[in-house]
This record gives sequence, structure tokens and C-alpha cells, in this order.
Amino acid sequence: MKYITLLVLPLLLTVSSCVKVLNDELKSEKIKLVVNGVLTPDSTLAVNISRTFNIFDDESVQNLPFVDDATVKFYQNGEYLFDLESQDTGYYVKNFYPQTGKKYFITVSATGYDDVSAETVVPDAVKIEKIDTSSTVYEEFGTKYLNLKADLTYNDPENEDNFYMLTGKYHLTNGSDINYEDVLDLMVPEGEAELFDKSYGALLWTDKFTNGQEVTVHFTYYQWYLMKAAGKDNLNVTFTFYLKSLSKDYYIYLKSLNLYNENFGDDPFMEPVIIHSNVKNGYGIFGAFNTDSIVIVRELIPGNLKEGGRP
Amino acid sequence: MRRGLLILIFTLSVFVLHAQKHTISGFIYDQSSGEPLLGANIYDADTYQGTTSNSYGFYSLTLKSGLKNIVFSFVGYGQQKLTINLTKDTLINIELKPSVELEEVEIKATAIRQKLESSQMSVNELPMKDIKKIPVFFGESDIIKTIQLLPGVQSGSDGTSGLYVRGGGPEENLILLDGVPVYNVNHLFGFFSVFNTDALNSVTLVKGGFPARYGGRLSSVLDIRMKEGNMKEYHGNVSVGLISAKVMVEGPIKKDKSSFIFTARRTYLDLLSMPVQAYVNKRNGYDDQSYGGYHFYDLNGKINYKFSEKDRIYLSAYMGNDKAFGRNTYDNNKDYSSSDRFKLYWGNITSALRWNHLFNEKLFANTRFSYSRYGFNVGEEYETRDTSYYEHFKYDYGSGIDDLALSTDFDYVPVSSHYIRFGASYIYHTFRPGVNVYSYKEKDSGITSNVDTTYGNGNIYASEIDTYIEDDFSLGRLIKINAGLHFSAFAVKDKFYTSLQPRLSMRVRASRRLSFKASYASMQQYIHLLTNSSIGLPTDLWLPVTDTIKPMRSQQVALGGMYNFNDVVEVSLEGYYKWMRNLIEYKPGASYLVSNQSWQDLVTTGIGWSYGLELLIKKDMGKLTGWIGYTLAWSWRQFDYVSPEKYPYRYDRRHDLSIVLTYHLNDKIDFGATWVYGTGYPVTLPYDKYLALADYKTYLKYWGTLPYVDNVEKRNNYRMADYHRLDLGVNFHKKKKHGERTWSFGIYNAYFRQNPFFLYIDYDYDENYDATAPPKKVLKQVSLFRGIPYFSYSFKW
Repeated sequence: MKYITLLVLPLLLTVSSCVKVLNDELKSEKIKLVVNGVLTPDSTLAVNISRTFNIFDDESVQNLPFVDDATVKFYQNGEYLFDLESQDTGYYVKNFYPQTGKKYFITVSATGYDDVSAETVVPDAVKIEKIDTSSTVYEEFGTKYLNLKADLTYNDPENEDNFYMLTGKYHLTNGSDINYEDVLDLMVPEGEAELFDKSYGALLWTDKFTNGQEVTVHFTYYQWYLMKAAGKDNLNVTFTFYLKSLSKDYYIYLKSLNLYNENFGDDPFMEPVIIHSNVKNGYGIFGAFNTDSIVIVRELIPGNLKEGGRP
Repeated sequence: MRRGLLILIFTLSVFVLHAQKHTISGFIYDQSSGEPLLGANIYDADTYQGTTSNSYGFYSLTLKSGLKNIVFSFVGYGQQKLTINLTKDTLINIELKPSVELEEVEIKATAIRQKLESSQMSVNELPMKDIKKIPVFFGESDIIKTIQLLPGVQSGSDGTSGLYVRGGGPEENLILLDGVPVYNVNHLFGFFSVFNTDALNSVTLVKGGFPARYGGRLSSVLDIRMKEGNMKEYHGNVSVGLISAKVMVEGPIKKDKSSFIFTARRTYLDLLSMPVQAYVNKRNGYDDQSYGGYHFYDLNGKINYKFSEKDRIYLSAYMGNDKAFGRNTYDNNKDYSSSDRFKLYWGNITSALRWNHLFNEKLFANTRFSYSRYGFNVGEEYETRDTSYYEHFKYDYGSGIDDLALSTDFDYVPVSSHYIRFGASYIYHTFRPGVNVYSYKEKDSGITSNVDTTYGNGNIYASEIDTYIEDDFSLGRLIKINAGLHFSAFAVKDKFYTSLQPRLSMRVRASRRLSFKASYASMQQYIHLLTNSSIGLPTDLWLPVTDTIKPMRSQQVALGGMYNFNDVVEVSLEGYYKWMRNLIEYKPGASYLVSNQSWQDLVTTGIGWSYGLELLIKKDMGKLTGWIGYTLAWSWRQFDYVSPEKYPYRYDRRHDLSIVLTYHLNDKIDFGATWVYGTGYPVTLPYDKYLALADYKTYLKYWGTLPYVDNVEKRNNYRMADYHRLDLGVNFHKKKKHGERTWSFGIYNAYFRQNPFFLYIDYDYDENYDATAPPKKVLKQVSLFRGIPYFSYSFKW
């Protein structure tokens, strides 16, 4: 498509085009509240409250959109628990751990805005049954790189819709001066990418094709610094993979956000992506997830990766 | 439904009861060229019982025995009256003489009366000679652009050839060239259509009340007929315009037996630019060469042969292509070279072999074998090498559709009050949804890597069968009805769809000058066009229905009236309501040319409905001719995946007005003027923005910004500015020794209106831009084509 756009647009624009600035204001009917928060049993509560901006408004840090004077009421299974406490940067927090299977509901009210509300249920975690990894070293332009592959297996729960995200991080150390941690980029092999809604970075998929089955996800993982490090000193590396079970709204939100980011500003003829929201009378996402993780420790020696033990 | 069938059969059998009647039948031709005259009138001057000639000039009129005064007439031709004593079935082939202006008055009046009489509604016919008088874009007379000026038809983006009929999409138009579907009618990304007007005989647009003989699309039928070629003498036409040159030759192969016509057209800007490019390359030095170009061409050819009074065959073909390319080569003549080539091709081929056979004076048959192909190809090839390194990359993507079709259509005219048509067709579709060829080869310091792969969607094969029967019959003198049934079936993979589509249209004559008309049509369409763009991109992909993507369906009702003012001006007013189901659209953000995902997963289905009023005031005679067309319309879509609420269709236009005038000053000069006005089209714009889910503290700490996303609350929430445009043209004709030359001059968008092409939001970097202030975003509008002048020279002999 980009080829065509690249060809057509200059052609059209050179034929006889002109660009003029329209003075339309594009005014929304109302400024609305935006709720962004994701609950998980592993963390205490934190929800961010901000507001919508007019599309032409200043985006600089002098004009932050956070709403710090809101009242955020928090409910569990229909029962009011407490108000969240305002922090800076629009965050509202409470030392409370959400529980698996519970339904959470919040209402947000702030002067000058319509009240908004949202609800979510914390899904069960799905256990990682096993992970098999392999590694090879290849050389390109005189530099050695690591090619890391993994097969992660889990059992998809039957009779329910499940929504998954897989992420990873690594921690690299030589015990003294090198101590580095970063997220991993994951990637699904090309032939299997169609089973995923996002097949690189953090992987996203559903159980649409695999409901109730034992599922093995094949992926490679890499990170530039890590790959380069393969040619250097002996290092210890710890990989951690997180299989996250997402609430449906959170999944759809991430999927639409991914589509949005992929297509943003690409083609003036294309319909823009509408980002999913489950916030009533407002925007944003109030979602939940539950995680199972697995850790692999490896010893990295120049030109190779020595298999280490699973802690 | 069974009851309806019984009524139809009963009605069809009425003619059996008639007796003591004989039939006059034959063909009507142009006397000077031998071209068949389509839609000519043949009637008994005493009783006004009559008929019209079909697409091949055939007519059949059954009357009571006795002395008859038969009138043969056609718009633009002198009428002929024959007195015959009808005692047996009689074959009369008639040649009508093209008329001079004064004689036309009576004949054009007859044409209006004929429209009043017809049971069909929502039909517009465009005389080819009028089309050439209308000022046009770049001086290229274009039937699609002219049809866009009719009520009920929207034009899409500025300057493009899209046809949006009564709220339907461009894929819902059945565009037939000599009965063969043409899948992509766009040259130059839709700014020109593929039809060369020099090759055409007639153009008919049907927007509703579809007769049963048409099927396979929801919204319109554009029936384009090519000329047959002059049977009497050789003629031709050459013309040179601002962007293209064209030639047409026609003549007899064997006088009154066989003839041919051939046309060719090609743009030549690429040829003119080659010396300029060569000069620039020479200045750059011969080690760095860049060439690029774009052109389109089309060819039409047709021959026909009359074996006898009863048999005639026609062989016709169209071929057209658009080609864009670019190449860059670099060679330092020592140790480094590179080349990069890009290509983009698309085009259609249609061909048809037809056989007309007259079984008897009441039964005419046309059998057609045809082939239609649309193909698109884009590719790039890159190569670079030095003493130790070699890299070669190649990418190729192709898609298209092929049709092989066999059809037979019968016209049966048992009595003058019944005109029965029936027939069947079989189409074998091959859909080529897209194949990517990707190869990559690299050799570096002795290490070789090699990728050579072909992937994409395989061909899909499908069979489509259509059968129909319709009867155009009169119930007394006041009521005329066209009732019919169209049955279609479609088999693709292991899926089989069928559909029985009733069609009905009727006319009630209220007075000598006023008719009321009503119609109902049910339509079904088995092929979809995947398009995500408002311009005619060749990447638009035709695909068949599947298990999950069902056939598109529509139902349309229309009511209208037509009034004849003094046999000079016709006024017609029609209202319609159309329901559409199983429409498809790309899901938001779904991208083109994604071969690793099934296309079905990229689209979503929904419904649409449209309604409106159309007014046409038309004057075909006198020095000043033309029409005023006004449409008041609404068109809605509802796709649950896109929005839970209904939203206006991308080409929803509340008011649409076209004024088309031509003025014949004398035989040397005529003028043309067109003014169009339309409510701005809706587009989707974000009105505000908000924060995406993220760790904002980290964002602010490390990047000093926040992750905003544009917020789109509703689809098509913003109306672009209204569209209006004036085009002016003048033609100077002069008789020369061997023919007539014409100089045409004109201007498109004469008052330089900045009509919106698309809108986007961007930072404001105008001359007053303040670099110290926070960057400010504004809404910007891109406009094309302001005050485009044109000229052309043509000579016909």
C-alpha cells in the first residue's frame, strides 16, 4: 500500500494541488474524563485520571491533562470499599491487592466533568506448563549474534474465552560492573503470525482457534544489547517470561491501540482506528490481568550461551 | 412466490388467444453507416401500437391484418412512413437517414413520448454526440464523468471516475461493454475512465427498477455498446489533446456485409518527458541515470459479418493498460554498480464473440462467448555489487480476476402488447487475490544468504449461473408493466448460494403528457470489492463470497412521475428507498497487501440504506440543450464492528445539483457549460485526544512528553466544504476538403474553486509561525485541479 500511496500522492499533489489551513475548531461536545488503570493481584491499586484535550491543544508539559481533584470510589462485587487517594500526576492509589475472580467497579467524579464509571473482573492466571529454549550463534558482517528460540506451553481453560499477552524481560550481569535489565522483544515465526493479533514485541492472541487445548507458543526473543553481548565477557543472564491472562476489554483495548500505532498518519484516505474503551461516559481502559511467570538462568560465554538451571 | 409465478405464466400466455394477426419484423440501421439503431420506434400510425428496436436493431411488431401505416423513427434521424397491406408475416429492414436540425423536432418529441410510454423508470440514456460537446477534464470526453452529472449519481473524490449510484458503492455497478463486465474502469488512478468515446455507440444507465435480464450487482447497470463499424464507406477521426492522442477508423470489409472499427488512444507525456530526462541524466554524468514515466493506452476493435438476413456475428475486443515505472542505475565504471527498478501495471482485457440469430419474425436470439480479465502488478528489483559484496532483492505482487462466460438471450415478441425476454448465462470466475514473490540474495566475503519465496492467497475458482424471464406487457392503453424473475446461483469451493429475485416496474398514463411509474427490484451480488480508499487505486481487489462473507443483497422501491412540456422539455421526478445487506468494509486499520492473513478476517459486514428524490429537467432540441439534475438524498451505513450507531456513508451528499448546457450557435461554433454543486462529503476526524495507557511518570522523566492518541468518537463525523465547480468549453468546427476539423478549448474549474480532496491535521508552519511558542496543530485541506485549461484538435473524415 505504501508503494501506491507514495506514487499516487506526489502525482496528485504535483498536478495542481494546494493546501490551505481551515479555521475550523473541531470542538467536541464536552471535555470528558479519561480513566486508565489495570488491576492485577500482584500489585496494589493505581488508577490514573486525566481529561480529554482538544485535538489542537498544546501537548507540551506546560499543559498536562491530569485531574488531581477527582473522587474515585472503588467497589468489589458490588460493595463499596473505599475512595482511592490522590497522588501526583493524576494517579489515585490504595494499598489494596485485587483478587482473582472478583468484579471491580469504580466511579469517578470531578468538578466540571460528567461522572464516569467502569468495571472489570480479574481473570484467573493460566499456568505455564513448560518452556523449552534453544540458542544458536550466527555471524553477520564479522559480528556474532545470538538467536534465541522458545516454545512455551500452557493449557487453555475450556468453556471460556481467554485473552493472552506474553512478555519477557532479561537481566544481565557479570557480578561486578555490568548490571543491566530491559524488556525483551518477542517475535512469532512468519507462518504462525496469522494466529496472533500482535506477533511481535508483546504478543497478543486469543483462544479462538485453541479453546480447551494444550497450546505451545513458538517464538524468538532478542534484544540488541544482549545479542551484542554474546561476543564479550562471561555473563549471567536471567530471562523471565510472563504469560498474562487479560480481561476482554483490556485485550480489545491493546489490540486497537496496536492497530492505531501501526497505522497512524500513514494514509489520508484510510479510516482512522477507533480505540476501544470500557469507560462509561468517558474514555480509557479499566482492565485487569493475572500473570504466571517462568524464569530461566543462562550463563553467557563469548560466542555461546551455556544452558543453566531453572531456579 | 408460487402465486406470482402463476400470474406471470398466465400473463405470458395471453397472446395465444390472439388471432388474425401478422408480424412485421426486421432490423433498423443508419443509412449512412449501416450501424444498427438501438431503441428506435416502430409503430402503427393509426392505432399507436408500437415497439422499439433492441440492442442489435431488431424489432418485431404484430398487428391485425390489413392496410397499415407504419412509422419508423429514431432521435436524430428522419422518420420513414411505410404503407403496407399486412396479409402475412413480413420482414422489413429499414435504413433511416440522419436528419437535419428542423426535422429533429418531431422526432425528439417522439423520444419524449416514448419515455412517457415506457414501463421502465430510473433509466438515463446519453447520446454520444452530446457527450462530446460537454466541457471536460483535460479535454478528454468521458462517459463516466458525464454520467456523474445525472441525478442519483455521486462522483466520489474530485476528478475521479467513481460512480456512487443511489447510495451504493462503485463495486455495485455492473459496467458492461458490449455485454461483457469491465472490472476496473479507471485510468490514471481514476482521473480518466477506460472508455474511448470514439468507439461507442450508446450508453444507458439503469439506477433502479432493474429489468430481470440484468443481475449480479446491487446498484446500477451501465450498458455501453460499441459501434459496429461503418458498412458503407471508410471514415475516421484523429485527435490530439493536452494529455493524449487518439485515432479511430471504421469501414466496410465487404459493403453491407461486413465492417470493422478500430480505435486507439495513448497518453504521451512520458514520451515528451524522455528527452528532458535524458538531458538531466547527461548533465548528471553517465554514471548516474534515472528514468521514470507513466502512460496509459487503450485499444478497441470490432468486426462483424452478416451471413444472411437472419445471422450475424460480431467479434469485439478491448484492451487497456496503465503503466508506471521508475529506474535508477549507477555505475562508477570501476568497482561499484547499483540498479533499482520499480513498476506498477494494471489493465483490462475484454473480448466477446456474439452471434445474432433470427429464428423467425418473432424470436431473436443473441449468443455470446466472452472473456474478461483485470490484472494488477507492482514490483521492485534492486541490485548492488562491488568487488566483495553482492545484493539482489526482488519483490513482485500481482492480483486480478478472470471471467469466461457463455450466455444466450432471447427476445420473443408474440404480440404487440407483449415483449418477452428470457435467457441464461454461465460465468466461470477465477479470482487471483494476490501472490507475493519475494527473493533476496546476498553474498558478502564468501558468505551467501538466499531467500526465494512465493506466498499469498491461491486462486479461487467460482461458477455463476443466471437465468431470467421478463415480459413487458400492456394492460389496456393506460397501464404497462414489466414483470420478471431473475434466478442466480453461485458455487465457490464447497459453498453454494442461490437467489430468486422478483422484478416489477409499471407505468400508469394519467394523461397524454403525464405518466406515473413505480418499481421494485431485488438484487444479489456474489462478488465483493475490497477497497479502502476514496480514489481508484488499482490495488482494489475483487473477491467472491465465502462461508462467512455472504452475498450482498438489496431491495429497492421507486415511485415517480414524468411530464412532457410541449414535446420540448421532459421533467421527471423520482423517489427511491433502497435497503442493502451484507455490505463489506475493511476493519479500521486493516492494511492492504497483507498476504499472511485471510482477507475475510480483514473485513467486517454491515447494512446500509439510502433514500432520496431525484429531479431531472431535460431539453434535447433547439439551439440550447442540456439538463438540470437535482438530487436530495440520504445514505446510511451501520457496521457493528465500526460503530454501534448508524453513520453517514462516505459519499452521503444531501444536495447535488448539476446544470449541463450546450448551445449550438451555428454549424461552426458550439458552446458547453457545466456547473455542479454538492454538499460536502463526510469524513472522519478526531475532535480531541487523550492519554493512552502507560507509565506517565516514566514518560515525563525520560522523554518529557506524554503518549496521546487521537480520539474518533463517530465515523464520518465532519462535513468537508461544499463542492462546486464551473467548466466551460467551446468547439470550433470547419468543413475542409476531406472532412471536418474541430478545435476545442475549455477550462475545468473555471473560477478556481478550492474543492476539498482530503483533510488532515498537521502542525501549522505558515509564514507567521512562531518558533518560540508551543507547536500548534491545525486542520488542513488539500485541493486539486483549479482552473485546468484544455485544448484539443480533431479531424474527422
